[in-house]
Amino acid sequence: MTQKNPREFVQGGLDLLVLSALADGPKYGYLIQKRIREATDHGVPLQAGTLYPLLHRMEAEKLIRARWDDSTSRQRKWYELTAAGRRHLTRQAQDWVRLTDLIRDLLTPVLEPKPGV
Amino acid sequence: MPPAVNDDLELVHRAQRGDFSAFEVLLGHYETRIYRLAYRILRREHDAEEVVQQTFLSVIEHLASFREESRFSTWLLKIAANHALAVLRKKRREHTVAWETPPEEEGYQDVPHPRYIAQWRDTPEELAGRRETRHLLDEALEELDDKYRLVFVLRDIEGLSTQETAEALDISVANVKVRLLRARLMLREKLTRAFGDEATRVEPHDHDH
Repeated sequence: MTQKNPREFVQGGLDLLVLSALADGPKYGYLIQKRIREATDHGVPLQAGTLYPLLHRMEAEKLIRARWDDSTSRQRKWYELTAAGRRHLTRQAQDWVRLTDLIRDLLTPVLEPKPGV
Repeated sequence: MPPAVNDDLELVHRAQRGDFSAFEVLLGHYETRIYRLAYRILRREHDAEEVVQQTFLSVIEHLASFREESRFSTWLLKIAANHALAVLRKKRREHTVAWETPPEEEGYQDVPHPRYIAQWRDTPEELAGRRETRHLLDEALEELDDKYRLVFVLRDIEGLSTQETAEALDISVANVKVRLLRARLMLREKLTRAFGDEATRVEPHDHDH
């Protein structure tokens, strides 16, 4: 597992959600918000004020690339994963799943105490 | 409450230096305000959300060119108003209705004459504190023509100056003044029907103008 400060790890979770929302194809901001809202059953409210700076930063880090689409009546900025972004997503997803498995193993007994314990 | 101007400037400077978290805080401060502005102009949630997104993209892309000649909030609201206006124009084109009035038609000659006059039951201070007032004002605003509503929202609700409103809407200062006067008079009439004291009601039909 990549060595990481736990706090950084949690902060990286939002990046990971946004990257995963782009895994199956390009989307513009509103569609990213919608995907995350639906996938997390409204559990992660991602405000536009958070999303756009985050997209801007990931674009600067070359994890995603963007292009403007003027072909419809609304001008929209579409985002897609770069090859580096996809690699980053896969690596981070593996780390995340391993960590959450460990945490789940630790926490499950707390929620399901054995009889007589 | 909008954050203090100095707080904004510090965040703007940090964001201009590439601090993404400063961007986040700055935009977070204004998200609701931009949404409300756009909703009052466009009256559709989906359109208002689009305006928020377009505005944020513009701010992120153009923050480097913000010269601090105006307050950050004014600069931001002008951008939001521009995007809202663009959506409105597109809709108007779809419905083939012109938003702009030829300049020669814009004068004080047709300023609406009140048809319903009454003293209000409560003072403006009392009214302003009530949720009901905001709701009624929003309803009254919805009935105004776009060109009057836009000016009223920017000037009287968002507090932009006449000059700033003119720039945001790309119309002359004189047009802002006329439209604002008409908007206020039309709103006053609509609101008087809601807040007027029946006992003091006067029908001014015997006026000779």
